[in-house]
Amino acid sequence: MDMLSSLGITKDLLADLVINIVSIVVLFLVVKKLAYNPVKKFMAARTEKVMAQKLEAEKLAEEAQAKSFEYEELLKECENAKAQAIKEGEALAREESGQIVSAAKEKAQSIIDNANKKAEEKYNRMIDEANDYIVNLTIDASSKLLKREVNDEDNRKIVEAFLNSVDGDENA
Amino acid sequence: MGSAIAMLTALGAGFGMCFATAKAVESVARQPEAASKIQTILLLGCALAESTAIYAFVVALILSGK
Amino acid sequence: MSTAELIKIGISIVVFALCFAGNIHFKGLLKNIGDTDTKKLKSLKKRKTLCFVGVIISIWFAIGVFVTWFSGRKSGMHIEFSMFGERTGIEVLGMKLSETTVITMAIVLIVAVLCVVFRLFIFPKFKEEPEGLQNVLELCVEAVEDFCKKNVGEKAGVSLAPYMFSLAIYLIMCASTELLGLRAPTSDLVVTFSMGLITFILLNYFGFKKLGFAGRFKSMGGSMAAMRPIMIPLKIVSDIAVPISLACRLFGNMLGGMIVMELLKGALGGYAAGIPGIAGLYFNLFHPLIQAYIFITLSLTFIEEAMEGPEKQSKKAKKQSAKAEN
Repeated sequence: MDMLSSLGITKDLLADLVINIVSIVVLFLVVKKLAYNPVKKFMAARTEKVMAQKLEAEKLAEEAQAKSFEYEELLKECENAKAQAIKEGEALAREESGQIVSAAKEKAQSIIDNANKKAEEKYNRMIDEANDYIVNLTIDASSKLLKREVNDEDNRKIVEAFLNSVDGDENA
Repeated sequence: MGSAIAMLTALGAGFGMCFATAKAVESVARQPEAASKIQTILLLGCALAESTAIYAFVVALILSGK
Repeated sequence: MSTAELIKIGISIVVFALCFAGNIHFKGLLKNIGDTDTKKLKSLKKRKTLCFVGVIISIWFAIGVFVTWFSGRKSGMHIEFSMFGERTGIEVLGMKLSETTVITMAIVLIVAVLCVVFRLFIFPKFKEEPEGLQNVLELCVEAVEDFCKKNVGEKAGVSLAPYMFSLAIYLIMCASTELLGLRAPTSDLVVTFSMGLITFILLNYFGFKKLGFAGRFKSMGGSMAAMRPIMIPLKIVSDIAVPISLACRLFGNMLGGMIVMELLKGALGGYAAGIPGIAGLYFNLFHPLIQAYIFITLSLTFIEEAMEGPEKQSKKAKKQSAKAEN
C-alpha cells in the first residue's frame, strides 16, 4: 500500500476502479439481458422463419417442377395417341371409303347388268311380239294377197321358212 | 520544461501518421474498390501511431502535475 | 459600462445595420435581375453572402462585449487538470467517490432504465418488417456482431458481441456528458483503466480457454524453440502493457479534446459564443466516436492475438517461407 501511495494511487482511486469495473459489468449484463438478446432472438426467429419459408417455397417449386414434368409427359403421350388415332382413323376412313366405293361400283354394275338384262328381255319380247305381229300380218296379208285358202300347215311352213331366212339374214 | 520536451514526441507521431495516410491514399487511388478495407486499416494504424503522441501527452501531464 | 465598451457596441451596431441593409438591398436586386446575366448574378450573390457574414460577426461581437461586461471574464486563464476526476462529497464505505465515478453510475442507471423501458414498451411492438427504431437497433446489433465475428472468429465473436455493444453505448454516453458541461468519465484515467482491465481479463480468459495453459505459453514463444526464453517474458510484458496502452490512449484523446476546448474557451474569454460549439462538433462528437471505434477494434484485435494458436503461426511461417522460395 505504501508503494502505491508513493505513486500517487490512493485508496479512493482503487475504490473508483472497482466501482467502475462493477458498473461496466452491470451495464453489460443489463444491456445483454434486456436489449441485445431479445433483439437478437427476434432476428434469429425471423431468420429461421424466413429460411423455413424459403425451404417450403423451394419444396413447392420442386414439386411444381415435377408435376409440370409429369404433365408434359402426359401431354406428349396424349399427342402421340392423338397422332396415332388420326392415323388409324385415316386408314380406316380410307379402307371404308374404298369399300364404299367398291360397293357402289358393284351396285352400279349390278344395276347396269340388271338394266341390260331387262333391256334385253324387253328387246327379245318386243322382237317376239314383233315376230308374232309380223307373222299374223304376213299371214293376213298373204292370205289376202293369195286370196286362196292355204292350209295352215303350208302357211306355217312357208312363214317359218321365210322367217328362218330372215333370221339367217339377221344372224349373218 | 520537461513536459514541453516530452511533447516533442508528437512530431514523430505526426510524421508517422503522415506516412500512413500518404500510403493509404496511394493504395486507394490504385484500388478504389478496396477503399473501405484500407480505411479500416488506416484508422487502426493512425490510432497506433497517435498513441505515441498520447503517451507523451500523458507523461507531460504527469510531469506538469508534480 | 466604460466608454470603450460603449464604443465597441456602437461599432458593432453600425456594422450590423450596414450589413443588414446591404443584405436586404442585394436580395431585392437579385429578385429584379432574374437569371439572364449570370456574371452579375454571381457577383451580387457574393456580396450578399459577405453582408450575411458581416451580420453574424457583428452580432457575435456585440454578444461578446456584452458578456465581458456582464461577467467580467477576460481572456486568458489558469488551467489545471488532474489525471483523475475531482473528489465529490459523496462517500461509500468511507471512500470518497470522484466526480467521474458518480457520472458513470448515473450513466449505468440511465441506460438500465432505458433498457427496461425498451424491454417493456418498445420490444413487444416489434414487427416482422422493421421500421424506425427497430430498424436502427437491428442494424446496430447486426453490425456489431458481424464486426466481432470478423475480428475474433465465429465462436468468441458471438460471446463478445454483447459486451462490445454495451461498451459502445457506454463510450458514446460518456462522450455526450461533456456536451452537458460535465467532465467526461472517459477523461479520467481510472475509468479508462477499468475498461482496459476488463479487456485484459477477457484477453487472458479467451486465450487460456482456446489454447490451454501450456499452449498459450508455447504460442507466446513463437515457432523457434531457441528464442522462447527471450520471447515469453517479452510477450508477457506486452500483454500487461495492453490495458495500460488502451487506457492511456482513450484517456489522452478525451482529455486532449477537453483541454483544447477549455483553451479555446479561455482564449476567447467573453467572446466564446458559438465558436466553441462549432469546434465541439469535432472534439466532442466526432473524435469520441472514432475513439470508441478504435477502442473496440483494438480490444478485439488484442483478444484475437491472444487466441492465435501455434498451428496458425506455423502455417503463417510456412506460407511466408513458401513465398520467399517463390
